[in-house]
Amino acid sequence: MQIYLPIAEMPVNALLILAMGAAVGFLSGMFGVGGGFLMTPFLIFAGIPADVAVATELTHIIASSVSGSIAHWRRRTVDFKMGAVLITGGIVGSGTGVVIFSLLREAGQIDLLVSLTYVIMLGTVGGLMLWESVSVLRAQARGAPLSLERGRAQHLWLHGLPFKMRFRQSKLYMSVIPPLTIGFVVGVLAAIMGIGGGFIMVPAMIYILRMPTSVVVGTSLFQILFTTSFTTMLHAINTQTVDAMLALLLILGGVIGVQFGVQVGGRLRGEQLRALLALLVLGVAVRLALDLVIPPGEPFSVEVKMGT
Amino acid sequence: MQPRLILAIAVLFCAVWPGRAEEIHAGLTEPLIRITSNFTGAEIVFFGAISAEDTFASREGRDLVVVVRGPEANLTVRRKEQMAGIWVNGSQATFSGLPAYYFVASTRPLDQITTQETLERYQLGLAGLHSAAETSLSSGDVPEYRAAAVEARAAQGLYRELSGESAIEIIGNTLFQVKIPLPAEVPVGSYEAEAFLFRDGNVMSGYTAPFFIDKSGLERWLFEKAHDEPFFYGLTCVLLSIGAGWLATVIFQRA
Repeated sequence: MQIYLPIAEMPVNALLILAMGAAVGFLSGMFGVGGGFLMTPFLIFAGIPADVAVATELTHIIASSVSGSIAHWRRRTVDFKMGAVLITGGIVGSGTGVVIFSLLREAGQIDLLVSLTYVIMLGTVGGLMLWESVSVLRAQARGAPLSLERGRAQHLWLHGLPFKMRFRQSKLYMSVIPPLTIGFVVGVLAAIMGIGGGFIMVPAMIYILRMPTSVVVGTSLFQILFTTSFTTMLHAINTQTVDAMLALLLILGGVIGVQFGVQVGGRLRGEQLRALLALLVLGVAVRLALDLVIPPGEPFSVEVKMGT
Repeated sequence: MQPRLILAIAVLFCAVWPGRAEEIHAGLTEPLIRITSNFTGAEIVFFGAISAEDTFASREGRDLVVVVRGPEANLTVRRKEQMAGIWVNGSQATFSGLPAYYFVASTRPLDQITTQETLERYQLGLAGLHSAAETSLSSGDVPEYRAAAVEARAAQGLYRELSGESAIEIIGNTLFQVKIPLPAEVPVGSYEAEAFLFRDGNVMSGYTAPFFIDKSGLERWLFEKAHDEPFFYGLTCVLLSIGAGWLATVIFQRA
């Protein structure tokens, strides 16, 4: 069933997009990640222009982070104060990201920017995740439980920074500079990659901010909801690349897939899940990297701008 | 009295005017193509008749050319170049004033019908498409980029050059029809279909029919909102996404 996308100005197979939405939704339900980092490349592989894919995927992330946010809000596992600081950084970051996005789009380098950012981010995060989960699995095989606890001493310099603030929910008294910076970085990446950034935000909260794990996921979802909503607005105003029809298909497929993913994910062990996710992330990174390295079959690309 | 008299003279004049021996008249099946959500391309038929004083005028030496031009567009052609091991968009050339859609059908290959000069004057054939290159190139030459632009449009079915009986169907001696294929990626805008009647390499008569391609219904509404009221459009998208996520939570909690 073909459906015409008004902003991308091309017909797509509606069932294919629904299936992709469901598949990514399934994986995100299973692994507890937003899935933007999978969906945007999948959309690009399916022939959707990179700029439309990035901007539209954000709406899909909004929809999927809403249900998680509601659940965590009810359980009172959201640090709103920390969330607000992260969002402040996120809004500045997303603004910066959209400006970079627009500039490179004008210069005809948007595909390169998106691909390169993906290869670097996914390669790094996937590699780290795989390394960690493999060490845990090996340690378990040896019978020795590996401790993930790390000394606080190595982060002492963070406590020397000014503008300290008390975060009651996280039981932290620290400078606002680290969370502002993290929010900023995730905001930039959200605008360029069309992701929520949970897979960067969550480790950053645990290892850099040292937030208690109980509030990490809720606060991350809360910040993602706001940052992606803001970024979607910026893309809609600045680049007009949010395709409502594509968004509808993605959300529809996504919400169904998530429900099944959650059930399957519950039956797998944490380390196995993480190793699988790491392989998936690395797979996408390799696929994108190959496109950059292998000599293109068609050296020319043509962009059409209609005269007014 | 006066107009009727003029008309009568005109008819008389046409009937005896020797240079007007053969004329072409044509029309389109659909003057407006609407792009709706299930649009997967369309085909319109350009049909017409050749009227000649001598109805048995020889088909020998007579040729028909039908050309369809879409709205003007700027085509930017970029060449991938290797930089530090990765392939990036390097030098580029922009061609302005090229049609976004171009289709030409002829009874014989164009170069057999008339001279190169005539083809260029009427802008017939992919080889004769004129445009000015707007940006100078740092490497490579302009024709190569222009050829790449034409090739890319052709690969999408947006530039086509056909000839022979399959391109123009002649019925009897005087009727003809041309099927104009409009692929799904066809750009919106105003189009022009033109029919030329050639005899021994000279244009005897021509006929122009305009048609329009426009987004329609929901597709049109969404596109207009996105461009005219981007704030409202973006806000609606965000609110609907939040609503959809919330709705899904409610539905699946009960299930």
